[in-house]
Amino acid sequence: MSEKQTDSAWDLPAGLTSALRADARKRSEREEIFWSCQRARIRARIQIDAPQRHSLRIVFAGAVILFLAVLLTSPTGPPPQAVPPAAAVVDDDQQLLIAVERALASGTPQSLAPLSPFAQPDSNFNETQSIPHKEHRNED
Amino acid sequence: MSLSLPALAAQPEDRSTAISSADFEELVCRHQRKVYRVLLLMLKSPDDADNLTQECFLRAYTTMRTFRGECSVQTWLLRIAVNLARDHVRNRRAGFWKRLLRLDDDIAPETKLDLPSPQPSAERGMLAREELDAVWRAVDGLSARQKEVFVLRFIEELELKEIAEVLQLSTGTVKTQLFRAVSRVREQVGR
Repeated sequence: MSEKQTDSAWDLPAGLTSALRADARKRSEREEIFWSCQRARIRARIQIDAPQRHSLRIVFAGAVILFLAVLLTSPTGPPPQAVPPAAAVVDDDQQLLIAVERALASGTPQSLAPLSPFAQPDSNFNETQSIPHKEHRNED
Repeated sequence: MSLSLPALAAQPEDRSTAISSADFEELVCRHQRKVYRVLLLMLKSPDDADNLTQECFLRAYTTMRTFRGECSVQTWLLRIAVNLARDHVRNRRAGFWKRLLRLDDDIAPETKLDLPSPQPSAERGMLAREELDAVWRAVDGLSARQKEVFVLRFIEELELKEIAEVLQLSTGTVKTQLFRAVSRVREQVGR
């Protein structure tokens, strides 16, 4: 009983379903020429499609071959990793020393040469030394 | 000549000559009306149904190698057709709804009434016509999935298992969808 009720819940009355079927068939009914034209169009589309698929297959195969060739010709193993340059230890004293040595080796530039009056021995040195005596004398 | 699709699928690499022969012609000839009818009921557009029927057989041709014979050729073709219809509706939803509203205008008046009644009186015929129209309107109001189940069950007379195979659903889901579709149609038609 319950099985019948369940079945009927999934079904429409037989008369109605047969009428629906007949109506649907009538709606989709076409002349024979329609069906033969449709078959001809399907055939034509297959004939157009088949060469396209063939050429696509060739292009795909070419791409695969190219990829494999690139893969095989590339060097094997992991690529060498770039070694980062060691950070230079900067020693100020050492650099200064090097700079001085270079300066000495290349000769002293004119601009840095000591001025001649200061470089020459001071002839008036004794005179200047005597001034305090004079001053002392005046104080006396 | 009897055509076995797995036999076709087992053809050598260059299938085009073999398929374009009478074998494929027979396959198309045998199933084109059914495929067209299902597509017409789903899409409500004769032009779209025609185009998608062609597309269906083209796709069948190109994917024939993947067909393993696990279901019947009819089930396989209807599955392709239903998938094409779904894609079509998805892609051109706006146009589809316009065509749906124009359905009654597209059908010639003389093709509307064809009830298998032995001696239909004019009144009886008119009532039946109205009832049929009400059912079709109710079917149009169903969801896409429910409509697919309804058409395959009541128009193409497929078993629930076959419907499940076509729509790639479980039988339980088909039953649920069918129950909902029938309930809704009954509700709208008043039967």
